[in-house]
Amino acid sequence: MNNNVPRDEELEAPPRLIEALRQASSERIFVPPAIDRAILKAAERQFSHSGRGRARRVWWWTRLATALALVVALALVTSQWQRVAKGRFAREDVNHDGQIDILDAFALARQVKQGSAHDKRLDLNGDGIIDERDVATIAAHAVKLERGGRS
Amino acid sequence: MRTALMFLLCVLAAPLFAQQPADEEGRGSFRVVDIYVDSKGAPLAAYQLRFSMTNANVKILGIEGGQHPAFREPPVYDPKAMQHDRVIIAAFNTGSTDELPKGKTRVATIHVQTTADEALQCRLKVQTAANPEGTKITVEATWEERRNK
Repeated sequence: MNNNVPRDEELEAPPRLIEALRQASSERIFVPPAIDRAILKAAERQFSHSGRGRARRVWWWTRLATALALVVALALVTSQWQRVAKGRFAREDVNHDGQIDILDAFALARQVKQGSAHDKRLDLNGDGIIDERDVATIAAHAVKLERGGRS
Repeated sequence: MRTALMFLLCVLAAPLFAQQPADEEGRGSFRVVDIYVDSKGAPLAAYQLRFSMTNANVKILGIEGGQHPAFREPPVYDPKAMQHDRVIIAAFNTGSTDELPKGKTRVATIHVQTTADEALQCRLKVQTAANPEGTKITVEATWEERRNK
């Protein structure tokens, strides 16, 4: 322990410094107008730069958000369209397997035989009756060479 | 002079006679192809096959039904296939399981005309087949040229 080192409570500023500080607070400091203008211009420049950067960032985020929104919207529309397309079958596609073949004629023939052919869409020849002639229409469609016989 | 004229006529007429065998060849030979479907034990209620021939100058002349009573009627086909080398044939029967073939059965016979004596080269592809409930089943389709008419 060194007894010559003063404790914090005992520290005191030199009297000349205390006097100079007292005079400084009461005196008005003169700042030349040129320096004032220079500081103002520098500040304006600084703030205008940061403002432009922020605007650019906002613009980029807006573009990104718009692009994401478009992608999501497109995905939603596509899935909805696929769902609708799946639910829509050709009239001749009686068994709803996405193809028109002899199995559709067979399915309708079974319905006709059982007396359960009531879907008016299956009146393919438009004679008001769903019968063997409609079955024959589907069968003929199934074996057509131009279409490869498949839908 | 007369002899020379006769000789010239003979020379000019030679190609006409030479073409006669070709014309006879053009009439070609009539062949019969049997189409079989093997449903591997499942009752066969419906089938659809695509038949085509890769030989040159071959034409389909007619299509008959099969051997089993369920498919004795001629199958459905596009009339435009006549005089061409490919056809899609299809048939079904709404009878009960007992009335349907369950193994290998001849479902159709195709009559063709060829201009050559070479062996027939046919392709047969199963497009679909089903059991009496309309459920798709796996079947095997084969063809055989009938040797004795």
